Amino acid sequence: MTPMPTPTLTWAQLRDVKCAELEGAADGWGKSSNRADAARDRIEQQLLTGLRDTQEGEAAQAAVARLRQLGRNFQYVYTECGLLRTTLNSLAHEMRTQQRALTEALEDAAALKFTVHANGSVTYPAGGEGLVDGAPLRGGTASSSGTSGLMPPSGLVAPNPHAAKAQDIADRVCGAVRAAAEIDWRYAGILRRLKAEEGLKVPASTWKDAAGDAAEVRDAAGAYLKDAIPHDASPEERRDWWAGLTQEQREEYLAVYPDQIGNLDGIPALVRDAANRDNLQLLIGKLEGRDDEKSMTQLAGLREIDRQLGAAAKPGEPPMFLLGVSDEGNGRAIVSYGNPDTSKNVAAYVPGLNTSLDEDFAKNDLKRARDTAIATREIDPSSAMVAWLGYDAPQLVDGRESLAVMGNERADVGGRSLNSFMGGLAATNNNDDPHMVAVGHSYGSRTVGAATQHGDGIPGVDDIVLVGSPGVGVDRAEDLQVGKSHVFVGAAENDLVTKVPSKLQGNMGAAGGPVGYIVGGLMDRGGDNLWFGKDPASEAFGAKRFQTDAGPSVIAGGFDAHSLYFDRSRADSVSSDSIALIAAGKAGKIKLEGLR
Amino acid sequence: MTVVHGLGDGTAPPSGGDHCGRRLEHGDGPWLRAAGGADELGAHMAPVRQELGLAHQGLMSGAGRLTALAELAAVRESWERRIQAAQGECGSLADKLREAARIQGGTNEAVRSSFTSVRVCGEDER
Repeated sequence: MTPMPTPTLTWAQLRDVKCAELEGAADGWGKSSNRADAARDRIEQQLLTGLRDTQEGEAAQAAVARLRQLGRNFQYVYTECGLLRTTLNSLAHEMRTQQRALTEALEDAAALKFTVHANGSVTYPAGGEGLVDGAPLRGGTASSSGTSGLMPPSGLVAPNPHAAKAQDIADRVCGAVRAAAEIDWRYAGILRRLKAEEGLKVPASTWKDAAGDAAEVRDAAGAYLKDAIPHDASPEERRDWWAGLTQEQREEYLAVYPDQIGNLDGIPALVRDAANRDNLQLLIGKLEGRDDEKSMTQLAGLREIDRQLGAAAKPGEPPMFLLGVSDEGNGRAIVSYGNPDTSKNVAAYVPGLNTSLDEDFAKNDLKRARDTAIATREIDPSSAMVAWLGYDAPQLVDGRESLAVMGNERADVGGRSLNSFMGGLAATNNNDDPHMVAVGHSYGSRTVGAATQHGDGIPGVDDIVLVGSPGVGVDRAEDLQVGKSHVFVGAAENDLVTKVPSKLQGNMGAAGGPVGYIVGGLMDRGGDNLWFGKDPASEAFGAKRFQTDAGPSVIAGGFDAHSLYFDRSRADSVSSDSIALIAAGKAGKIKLEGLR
Repeated sequence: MTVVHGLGDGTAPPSGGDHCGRRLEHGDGPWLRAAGGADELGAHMAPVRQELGLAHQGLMSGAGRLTALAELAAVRESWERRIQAAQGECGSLADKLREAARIQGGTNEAVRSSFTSVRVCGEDER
């Protein structure tokens, strides 16, 4: 940053700055931003969809590519013009503060009949009494930058009582002008970097710059927007906070804090989705060009999500909502298939061991949620299914040691986040009494179990589904706080993760691979418990166990049976059918199986 | 902000056919609709220049001598150029989409080349 030049601003110029007109200009940028946003929306919701769905062949692809490019261009215009709006509002806000300080000093001077000169010095009249002759002491001029006419008191001469007041006023005038000059210089720098790039291109480097722009405007606008996002409030309070904002305020928060608004539980799904689509581009821009493994892994996941968001839902398919995205920890991604605010049935799938934001998650875990959403919507069209990667699942890079160290901690931390998220869904759902379900797979079921142990259980959740569970941290279904008849378990015959050790002993050698170590580590070899408590499929636990395909045997398929609960491509989809029925609130129709 | 107006919940026009492989299915409808849509987008963005001009009118004469205002003028010019370029692209796309609708008798490749020949976007983009 270039050093701040010596201020050339005068107090008269500061007084004359028209802050209302700065705000008027900000409104103009807001309008431009909104126009671009509407244009982008139109391209994505109508033009692209129309061509993609009804046209095939290379001509359509070329048209789609060009339209998509135009859409990205409008997204860039929307983002940057929104930042410009907030920059100007924030500049006006800061200038006003200095104008107020100046005005107060000028009013004090006027009341005392002092004269404030153009250079900020303050002349005061004769006053007080001389010690020797009792005559009024000479007047003078106080200046904040030196001693122009004001002699320091000698001790023998009583000072003119106006002198100290004049000095104070001069200091305040000078302070306001200096502060205003610094503000002007700072905002000039921000504005310089908010210039549009030439042309129509929006390469990833542009998004990287845009991320930097947003951070800079955020830093500058902290005082203006007052950092008022209610992070410590409940989801209901956040919902009410958002509802109470003016349209302009919402737009500014979305422009400056898309990452915070997009990931804030209690904010409506449509708003989160819009913010996160911007976040996604900003994150891709941020990670692009980095060569560390974590960045490259997350980037691949983000790109796959971006690709899916770009391919609009076909008729009958559930639309996709990006309810969360971040590069925090092992990465965060929360995707809903179907609108969770308007759907009567809302289920969240919590993935488990070794899940992180990568291409595999973006393809396979999202597919599980999507397939389940489709199946659920066939039963009740007012249904949404969320894939919730809102926590750091354990990553077993070195076998049982890792799990032994991680133990319950990831589940406990994740459980709190899950509660916040589900509380947010409950708060923003438009239905009087939405039917909500938490579905935990593998270690995700342990996370669901941990979530139930806070307060009254998982907010809003009526039913809990546990599949491929290594135990959930409690020993009885009723401890999950939804009533034991609302806890459903899928445990495939050949899924070793769900088996008690006594039944495993003969199979462990055949399992092999890293997962073999995991299961080895999961088991309490001395008793009939799984690693995280009682087997949820056991009689003692007391849940309802639905039928599942046994899956390939350990010898034929290793641990494949652990990953088939959501699979709808197999002839026997009894497990995924059951999950869909429970998600749709039709648990009475599932096919039950005997408990272990 | 369009987010408050809501997105459709899975409403899209019916898809065409169930062939596999590289299909070639054109109908005037979507091409001409897209062309009309592109024209409308251009018209939708057209007032931006005037709106920005009006919004800054008082500022330039009244706000005093802030350095930031000199920068703002340059910023405004850069965005007006960018938005104008986007408008131009809307118009150009609309023309090409109409042309595509007209030459449906021709080969698919010919239509494609009519797009790529006027592409404003660069090759280095995703």
